[in-house]
Amino acid sequence: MSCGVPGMEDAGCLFLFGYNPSASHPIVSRRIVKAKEKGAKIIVADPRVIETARIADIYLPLKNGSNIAFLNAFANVIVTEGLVDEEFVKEHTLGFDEWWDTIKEYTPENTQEITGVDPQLLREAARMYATAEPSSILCWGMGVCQHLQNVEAVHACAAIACVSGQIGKPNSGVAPVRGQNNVQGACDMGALPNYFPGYQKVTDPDIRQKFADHWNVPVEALSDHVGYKVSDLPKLIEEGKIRAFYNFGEDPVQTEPDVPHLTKMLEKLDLFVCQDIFMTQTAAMADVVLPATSWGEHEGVFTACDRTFQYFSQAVPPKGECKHDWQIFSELAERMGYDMHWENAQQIWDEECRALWPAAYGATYEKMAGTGHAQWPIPTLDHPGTPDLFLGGKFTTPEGKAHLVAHDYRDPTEMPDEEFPLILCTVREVGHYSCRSMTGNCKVLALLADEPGELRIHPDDAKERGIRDGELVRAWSRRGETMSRAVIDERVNAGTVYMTYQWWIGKCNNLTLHHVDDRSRTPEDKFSACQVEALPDQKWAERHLQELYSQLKEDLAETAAAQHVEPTCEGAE
Amino acid sequence: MGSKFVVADPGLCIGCQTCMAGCVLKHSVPGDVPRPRLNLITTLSVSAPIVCHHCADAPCAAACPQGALYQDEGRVAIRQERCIGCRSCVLACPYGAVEIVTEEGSALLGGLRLATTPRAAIIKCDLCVDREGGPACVAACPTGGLLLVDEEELERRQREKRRAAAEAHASFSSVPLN
Repeated sequence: MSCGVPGMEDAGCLFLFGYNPSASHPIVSRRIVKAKEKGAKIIVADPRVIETARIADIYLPLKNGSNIAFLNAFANVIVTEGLVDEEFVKEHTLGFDEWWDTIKEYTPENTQEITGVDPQLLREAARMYATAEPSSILCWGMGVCQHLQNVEAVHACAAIACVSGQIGKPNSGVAPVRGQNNVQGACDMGALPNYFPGYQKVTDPDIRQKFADHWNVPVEALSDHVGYKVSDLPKLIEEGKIRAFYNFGEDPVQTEPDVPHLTKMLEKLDLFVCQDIFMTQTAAMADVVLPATSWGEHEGVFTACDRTFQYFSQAVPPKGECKHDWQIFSELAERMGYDMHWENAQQIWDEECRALWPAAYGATYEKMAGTGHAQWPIPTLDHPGTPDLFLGGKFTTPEGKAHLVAHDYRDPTEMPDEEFPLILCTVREVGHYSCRSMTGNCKVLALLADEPGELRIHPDDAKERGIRDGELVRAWSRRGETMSRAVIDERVNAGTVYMTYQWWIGKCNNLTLHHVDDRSRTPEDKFSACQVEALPDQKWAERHLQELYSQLKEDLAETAAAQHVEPTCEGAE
Repeated sequence: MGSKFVVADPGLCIGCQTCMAGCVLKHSVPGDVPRPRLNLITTLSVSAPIVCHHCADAPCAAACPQGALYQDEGRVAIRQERCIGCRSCVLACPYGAVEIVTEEGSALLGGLRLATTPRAAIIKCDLCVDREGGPACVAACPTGGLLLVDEEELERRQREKRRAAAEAHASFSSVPLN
């Protein structure tokens, strides 16, 4: 994010595009309510009437998958209605003319068929966003990232912020609110195939030398090319390019698209190691399970979506054989012949993270003590941290200017047809976090929402299929099928059904399409074709659901029971 | 008579169900039923948890032939042991805020365990009468969108509205006002 989350309260306009904070980040949602109370204008563009749409000044119900057409038309209005910040464009951006060559072809009127948005409403929204004082923030979530044209849409959002001059000043710019807790931290620390910690490129020889020196290894030992991305795993196993997979803190059998195919591919692996805190369905498939500690059992530093480091302390000691992730890694490294030795998490933070990443050097444990925090870039010990990036229009490109890039609209990969007439869009729900391995074990949350989850459907689509509210239904696609509970919801748009991705029995990822874009390799989770039907025998369905659920829980418990033997491995004392 | 009830501001509600989780947690103790006493309802324009209003002339209490629901210092309270599970209160409540759940309870005759019999329990807001600091839901709401309304709050709101109404009278004064 170019701004801080607290600063969202002080913006003049918040434009939420493909972002449902009430379900994914209630704490951000609270800031948005506060901003509204302070007088900010709220614009919401989403196919569903999300919670924030109810308090929006303008709500734009765009069609699923039409992001680029919409954003291009939005940008077009900013230019044609004279809302461009000419000075900002001239001083701080590059490529306006080429960008405009594409954008000029898209008007609110000629894109209406694709977007479904009233042109007048779109014009009003663009005016409201571009002219808001003192600043506007363009917020997005997975409604941008999990589409075919995801990187393209990010380019479009950034260009809109630049041409309207709504970036480069306090509480402004772009707010891509991340999809997972500490996913920002994982990226910060180099859990990416193209970067060492601190976004330092693996392809840069000087950077490689710096890390090789610090880690006391020959520079040849460090990979000089960009690695694979996890979304390509099934394809690469199929091609024989990957034979071993070390999975750490993730439950791909729950969260990746087209699970039936993924499961088949994982079975082909020669070696499958899984490091987790619970016996997930993924862990149950592994050859080796390395039991790790949960957030309450270790200390560490999280990075929030707005680049804020926060320290969290250990509340209880680890149980049984469980070890901290860093202990598991260093023990593995030592057994592979590399001396990786640390005393504690703080040593790793000080001697690795801060030492190797100049922008984080000033983020000391002292600054993060108690409820303190440190927001990067924070390069020196006396630096206060940086809530707002790009102040004064200074960007981090080699030229110091923003590159304006525009793209033409393309249809999503799998359009609905006669056989599969409904769009399936996978979303979040507030009561369960991500794959549910943690929150599913919380009794209170399980009481409020349990298997098989919900399939939210428009009243017209439900009526057409003879589906009644609360009944179990069957949903299927070209990949597979699942069972879910229908919730007839007037807030969802006709023609699309919405499912959350954390249910074991009601697994929507049995249905989703595994198609990734060329740049980020992010799956198109927000758009695939499916069909839904009523189940005529509800009593059988309810019983079947309970049987499946009990059986799965039993199987996982049985697999987990292997840990109840006395530990014999060294270092277990 | 100090009647109190919990009510949601539908503009501040973000539909997060933290109130429901707080409620379940409060009632997750032995001898109680771990179910939410308030339920989030969403329509096209409104999101709000719906909960008992502790009506002064409560239809649920009037409908109960056993006196299982009764007035207790401005609160509609429950005598669980009197409930026969007839569900008259569920029919009578205009808010849909009363629920009857049946649980299998085993009847004991001396030391002899007899066949299990269903036991009924009334599930509705008790204003967390035994909780220090008042209702758990109000404390749990992240947006401060739940309000414990009491006589004083009602009076304050009425005074405000009457004052605004009085100000409006200025527009039709027969003589100019300063």
